[in-house]
Amino acid sequence: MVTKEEEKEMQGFLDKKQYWWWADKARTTRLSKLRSAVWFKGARGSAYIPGVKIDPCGCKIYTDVFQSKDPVEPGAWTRAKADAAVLDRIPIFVIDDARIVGYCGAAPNVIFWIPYFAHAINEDLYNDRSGLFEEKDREWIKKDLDWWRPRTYQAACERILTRKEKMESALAIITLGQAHLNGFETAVFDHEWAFKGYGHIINAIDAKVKEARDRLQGIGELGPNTFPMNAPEDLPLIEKLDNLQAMKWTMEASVRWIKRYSRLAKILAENFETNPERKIELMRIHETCAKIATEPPEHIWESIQHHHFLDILKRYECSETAWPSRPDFYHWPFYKKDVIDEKNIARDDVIDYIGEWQLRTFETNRPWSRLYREIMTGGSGPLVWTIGGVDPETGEDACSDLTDDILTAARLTRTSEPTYGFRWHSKARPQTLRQVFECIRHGLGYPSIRHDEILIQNMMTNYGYSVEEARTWVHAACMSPACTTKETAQPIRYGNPTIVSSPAMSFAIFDGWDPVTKMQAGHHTGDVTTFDTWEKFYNAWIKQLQYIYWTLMRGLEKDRWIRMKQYPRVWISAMYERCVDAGLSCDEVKEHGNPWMTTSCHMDQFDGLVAVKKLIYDEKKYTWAQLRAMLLANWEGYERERMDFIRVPKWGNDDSYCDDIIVKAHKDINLQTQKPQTEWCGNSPLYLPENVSVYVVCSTKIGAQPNGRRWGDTLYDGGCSPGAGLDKKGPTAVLRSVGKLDHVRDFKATLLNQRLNPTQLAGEKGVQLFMGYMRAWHDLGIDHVQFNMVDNETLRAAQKEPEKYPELMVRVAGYSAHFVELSRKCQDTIMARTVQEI
Amino acid sequence: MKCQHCGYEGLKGTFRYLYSTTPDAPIAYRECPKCFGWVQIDELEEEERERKKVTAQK
Repeated sequence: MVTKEEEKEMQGFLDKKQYWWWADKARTTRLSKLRSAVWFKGARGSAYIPGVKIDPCGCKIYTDVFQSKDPVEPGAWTRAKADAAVLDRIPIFVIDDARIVGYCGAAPNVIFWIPYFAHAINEDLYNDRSGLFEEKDREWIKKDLDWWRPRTYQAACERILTRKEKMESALAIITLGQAHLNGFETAVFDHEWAFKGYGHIINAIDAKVKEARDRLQGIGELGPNTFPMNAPEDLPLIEKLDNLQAMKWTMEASVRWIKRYSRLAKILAENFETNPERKIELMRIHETCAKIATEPPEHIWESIQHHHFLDILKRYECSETAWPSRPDFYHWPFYKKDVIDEKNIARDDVIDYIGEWQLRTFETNRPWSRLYREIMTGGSGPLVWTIGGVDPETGEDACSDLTDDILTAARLTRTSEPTYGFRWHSKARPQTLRQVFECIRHGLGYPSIRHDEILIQNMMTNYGYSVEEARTWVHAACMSPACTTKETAQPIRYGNPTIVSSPAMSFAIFDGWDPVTKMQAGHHTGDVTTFDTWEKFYNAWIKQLQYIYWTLMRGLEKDRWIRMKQYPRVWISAMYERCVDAGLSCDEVKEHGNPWMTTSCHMDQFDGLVAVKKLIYDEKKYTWAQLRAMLLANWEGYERERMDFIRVPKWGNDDSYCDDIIVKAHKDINLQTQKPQTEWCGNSPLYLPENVSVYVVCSTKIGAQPNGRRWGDTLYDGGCSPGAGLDKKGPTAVLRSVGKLDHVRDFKATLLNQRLNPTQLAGEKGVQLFMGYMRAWHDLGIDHVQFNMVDNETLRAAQKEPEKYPELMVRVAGYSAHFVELSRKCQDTIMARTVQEI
Repeated sequence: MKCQHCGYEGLKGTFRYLYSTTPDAPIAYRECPKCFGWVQIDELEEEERERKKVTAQK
């Protein structure tokens, strides 16, 4: 019970906008204890926090299995045996006070890693100056890494890449890695199948095995050879039987791993625990795990535990960048039964469970190279959980009390991960929208807000989904919507080769030469000083974008092929009903997917285009020779001229001269770079501009630009956001500019960052102002917006005395992070964003 | 220009350009070649000052 004094104190924190102190008082003792025991695995700057180590268990077990493999056994068998050995041998633990169990790693402070994917990451981790491995292990790990180097997925992929392609991937000129360099994926669960339970999947595999064996033997009413052989159709069944066998091993290993938790909880309860209440909790864990090891969940605490296990097991097989799910929708039937209908559990207790699940999610991460740690500085995902939206069958509002409880729990735990994406639609119930606003007002930076109707239309228009399929969408990663049905759930991160697109502008100006690396990086599109018309320059720029996108798409698809043929993912394949039906790996079975190409550092070049058109072609104030000289000098000695280029109309001010050029360019990129491509499943991708912290990392990788940007300056932070401080005409002008883009046809999605004034949005009046702003946003058909609502005074104070602000959170771009864990440059750019008065 | 941390004086170009967070204004950070401290300067003002100095010397 909260006393009157405590209530007054908590209100005081809210009045002073000290939301972290409010949360500290408002959350339960259990959540506070669990929260203080969590090891955050994201990066501070580009380094893991002291004490975080890389778990060597996966390396040891994988090396043992692969070195002793039967040389003639199918690749899927070896992979399945290695994964099963990990699940059987990895140490497990139960944290004090925890009611949700399961972690990917042998101890709470370690990050699980297998040396199977990228030797670049292996060596990055091994040589990290902060000492990510214990000294006693380094010698044997080195031997293992030497053995793995020519056998990694990266090595296999690089055999079919040219020297230039390898350099482009490694130097991060036009991309930040590829699947074979990052070693990670983003698999979206076939939700209904995954929630049927491991026992059901094992039975389904057994049935498919029997069916295939019977067919191979011609078994019918007369026994074997009842019908004749049809070799072209029957012989592939031999390979399918191998795959199904491998899938079954991984599912059985999952069952054993979950039962280990059940057993451990029971041992703790019966032999070590003295607190009778905790004994009961441990026995509940024991029973829950024993049941869901094979059976589908029936209660809310079982469904949350099952969901958590699914995502942890997925991470044992492959590093995952995201956590695609829709918890309020998936768990609603269980919540309704247990909280509303049968009253098996109190609502507050469910909030506690959800808070704990958020903490269990927050503590996960994957082994990152230092580059990727910097790209996701302060974050460990982005692990975006999707909430809100509509019911796939009826199209009615899917927001519920559970949605509200999830948002309440988020304000209490205040973790940067999971982060949330809310599917905002015209039928969403007001009390849930209020909860959305409260999270933003509490400075969490989430949920990001997505236009449900627009994104559903986008998927139906571009990929041919039925409306029922499109309505199942979840965030595949930061931004990209992905469906979750049997035929549509995607097993890979299509946007794996994150594209850096603004170099296309430099390439067009310097005939494909990159002034930063001093390499011929793009196409030879001609000497720009001979381009006597704007159209000639514009076409050269499009050709450079084609070079960038097509290079990366080729790499992505080659990576998929290698994985399909040599580096199968068995566990996740069993998680797709279509793969069990076909007896094939998830990379081979063609999903009805919706591929995208993540595009970073995107908007700067458009303001550059506008500046070139106006100052070189329309007004003829400068020549190409002059501009080239100024760019090569990084504008040094040309500050007055640079200000001319700065003063040209900029995106985000509802200026038709500028906006018309940029809107047309977006259409042309789609038609001329995306539509001509076809990926493995037969679809064309759409590009998806967003940034995470790439806009900071690439500030030294991209040369001076005609928009007045110098080498070293950060790039624009969003996918369609104006440059920081360049939106001078207020928030409505920003929305009007962004609303001119076609969010249904021209791209998969695009990221809009906005900063709101916390003082203006205080109290009930603030709620009304916010809702009015959101109505304008919704009416303009913009697919995304996310907010920071922290004033510069607080941010400056946190920069000065970071030790006093460990809980201060901000929205970076696609994820939230604790402000003090960001690099100084990243902090500065967040403060430079325009604070909008609405 | 002059480093406010160690007092080193030199031409703007000798201070390595770091970054600006205000793209529409000429304010930027540069790094002192002597003490490596960060110095905030007005690029336009400094450029004009140096130009005038060169003209006066001529």
